[in-house]
Amino acid sequence: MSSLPTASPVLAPRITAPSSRWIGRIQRLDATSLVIAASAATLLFLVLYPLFWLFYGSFAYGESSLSEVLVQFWNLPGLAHAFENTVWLVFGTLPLSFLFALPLVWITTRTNTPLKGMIEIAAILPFITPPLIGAVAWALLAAPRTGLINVLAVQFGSSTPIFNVYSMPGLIFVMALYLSPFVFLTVQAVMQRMDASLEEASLISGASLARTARNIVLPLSLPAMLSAGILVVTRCLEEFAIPGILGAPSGIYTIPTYIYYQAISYVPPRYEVAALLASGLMALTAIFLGIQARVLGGSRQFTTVSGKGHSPRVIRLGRWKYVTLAYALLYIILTVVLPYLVLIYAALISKWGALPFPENLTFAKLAATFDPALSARSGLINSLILALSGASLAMVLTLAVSYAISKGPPLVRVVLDFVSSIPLTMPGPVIAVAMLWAYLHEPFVLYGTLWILLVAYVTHYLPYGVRTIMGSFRQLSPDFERAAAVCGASRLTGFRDILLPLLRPGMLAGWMLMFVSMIRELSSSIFLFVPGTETTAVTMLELWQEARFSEVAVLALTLIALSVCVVIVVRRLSGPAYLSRHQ
Amino acid sequence: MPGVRLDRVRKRFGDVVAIDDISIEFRDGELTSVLGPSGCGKTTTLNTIAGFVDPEGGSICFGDQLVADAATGFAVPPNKRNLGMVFQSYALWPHLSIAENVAYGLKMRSVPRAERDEAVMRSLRRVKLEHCRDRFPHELSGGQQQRVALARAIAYSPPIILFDEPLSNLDAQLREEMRLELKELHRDIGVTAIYVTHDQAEAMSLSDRIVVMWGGQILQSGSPRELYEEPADIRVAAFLGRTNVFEAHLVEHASPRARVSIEGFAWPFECRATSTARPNSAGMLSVRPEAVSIKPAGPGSAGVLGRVRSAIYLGRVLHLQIRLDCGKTIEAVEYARHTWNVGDAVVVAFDPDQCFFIARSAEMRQASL
Repeated sequence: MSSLPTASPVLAPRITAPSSRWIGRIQRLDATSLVIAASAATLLFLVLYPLFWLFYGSFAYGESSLSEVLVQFWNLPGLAHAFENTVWLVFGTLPLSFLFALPLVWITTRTNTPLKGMIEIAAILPFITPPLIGAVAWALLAAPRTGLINVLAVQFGSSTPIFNVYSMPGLIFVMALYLSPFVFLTVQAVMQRMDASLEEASLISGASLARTARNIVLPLSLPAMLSAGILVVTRCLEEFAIPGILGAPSGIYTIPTYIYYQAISYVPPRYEVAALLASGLMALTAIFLGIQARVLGGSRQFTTVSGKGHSPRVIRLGRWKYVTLAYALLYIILTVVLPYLVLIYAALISKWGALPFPENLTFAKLAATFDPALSARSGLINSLILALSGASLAMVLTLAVSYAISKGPPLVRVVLDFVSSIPLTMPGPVIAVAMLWAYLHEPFVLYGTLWILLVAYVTHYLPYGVRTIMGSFRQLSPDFERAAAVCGASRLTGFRDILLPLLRPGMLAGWMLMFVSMIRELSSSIFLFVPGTETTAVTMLELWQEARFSEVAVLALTLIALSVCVVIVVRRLSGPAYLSRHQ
Repeated sequence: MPGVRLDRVRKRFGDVVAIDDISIEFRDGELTSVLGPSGCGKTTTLNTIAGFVDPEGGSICFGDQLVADAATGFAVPPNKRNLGMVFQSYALWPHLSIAENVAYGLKMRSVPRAERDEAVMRSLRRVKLEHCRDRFPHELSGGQQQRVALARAIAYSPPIILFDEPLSNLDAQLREEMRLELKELHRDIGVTAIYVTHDQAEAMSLSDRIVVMWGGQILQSGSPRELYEEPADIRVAAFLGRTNVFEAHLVEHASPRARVSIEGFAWPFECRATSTARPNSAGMLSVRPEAVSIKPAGPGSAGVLGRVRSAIYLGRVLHLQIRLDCGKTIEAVEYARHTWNVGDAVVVAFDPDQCFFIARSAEMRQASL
């Protein structure tokens, strides 16, 4: 070798550096680290503190031993029935929701049915309708004596009501209608993007259409179907509004409604029963979500969705396409048209059961609903306060937690990721019971104020926010932040100037999701409200029990209108599309 | 302009050693490439210099200024290191206009408005993009985005600029153009530039100096010519262009020429050798494809005999694979004047000036440095 190595060892004197490792560390702490630490602490407290109380309440409360509690528990009146009903509800809704949704998936992805685009949008529309409003609408339509369908039937000479929605079949029917869009969306996403060459390869190999469907399409869409199925099951387990409106009048309780009517509103309240049931419900949800995660994780091995390839082949139906169109229209009538028509009818009609002629219509109920004497006005104000502040608070917390998860040291990531997903396993009633235990007791007594509702909402919807924002974070190359740092921006400045604007579409979407969910929240609010802190959904349930149909309908339509307005405004705000699909 | 010095820097990720105790000086005002295959630690080295990764051992200085010292846990954060950097992904902020992207570093330095605008225009003019100042990154082509990234890095005149494979996302032709432009730019602004790449042609054409990394260690550093003609390690020879490798023994050494014996060949070959190589030491003989000359074998022709195994015509040059009679297959490149057919019998000769003997001891010494 002829030349000396240019990689000469460093011999020049050093500038003195701080003498201790720790001083070095502390000097490098900046405002960002503090924000992250504070938000991580808040998250841990919000989730773990009520969880501790929930378990404590389940297993360690009172003088009696666990075995005594379990014996008492076993002998509770009606509990066995509630279990039985829940099982019926799950096993009835599961097939029926698929029965509603799968033909629609097939119609929109594989056939030449007319108005396909419109059907696709309409199939997701029931999403906008919260289950409470769907249940109210169907009760207005098919309650045994007052339901419009039955009223009409009697007028046309029927001696008995033709469809009684206050029954297990009625419950299952409305539940399946409400859950079918979830199934539709999950399965349709896979079917739509499934590489057509997979099917064509089967057909070229000599398989018939039916065989191709059985051997190729079905197995490939199985993970999605399983995932949708699990979603339906968990929703059935946690749903409060539908069994509350449609089941409770005829004494059909499921676990969530049993917890409310037979444990929390029981005199004296059986809080430990509620805690034990809630823990069980949580465990069950956790198991199902675990299975779902495995199914979805495993399904990545199938490269059904390659991003390449062309769209699936379309089957020409000929005249049959009008049959499929009729099916799709019937579905839309059942899920969207009839419920909304009956709500509008109920809001405007002067006398229940009258024909909707102009002379029978009145706007008087609109004003009457918000009469200060009723709780509707304060309920709406409470809901607005809660949804606005809850969504905003949750968003700030979410942002900090997501930042900590994506940038923090490995241990912090794992812990925060895990803790922030715990509320996913806690449906509304479970959250509410945990909140009651945690915030009825010293040192944090929040019960009886709006605060407990706010804390419950933030805790409940945090995981959804974290998932949305984490999705946006993952899209952002770490180079964006590094480039800012190299240019001289501190972490906080870089976050403000670079990350925040880039995360804006994700944040707005997350905020919107939370706002819309919070403003209609029923399943935990019903446990946590006291007179004066009712929310809109709680008011609706109360008014419903007083048989004030038109007020309920007005409130329902107000809620929907509010949600739609927020969605439109937020869409406007979220800026140019390229921001959300760079890199 | 300060140089950049790394002193015994180490970094692991879990069980993987990314940088294994490297010491090196990047001289001020020079453009030094860090060259190596992916996973060799070159990007981690760059990231420790930038401050995105803190070393676990060793220290880093910019000139006399200590910026990181693992012994005390001291590390200047990236935003206080006064660097420029061009990223492989360009990392142009999609929500800011081109001018705003370029102005960001100046804004962070609180440069007054008028001066800032002036500097932005100057850098954009430097990369010939002044007409794009009000556009947004997604409206530019890949090559233009690359130039904006460059303009952003030079806008606030940092004394040290880091390049992380900046040209790897461009197509071949654009890449060659940009090499020339980058070289010219570097000559004009004269900063200390550290350029990470896995493309040896890029490193050769751009650099004042090249550092070859392998497995977290530095194999060799020197000017492109030194590295190509006198590789200290057979891996350097193989990585910088193609080469044919023979196991060899040094027979005699009279600097600069030497003679080596290769197993399977009766007579010794003439070549060059590292000055430290001692007679009888074992090592490798590197024979560049362009050092191989080929003649048709005639009756009574002497030399290394072989047959053409494949001949690939590439227009300007011809790539040949020749199976020698001793069983080894070698590569050869020659100007495409002669047409060879597969199976032709040939006589092969090596140009001694382009054959280099690397003693094994030297190679070992380098590997453990």
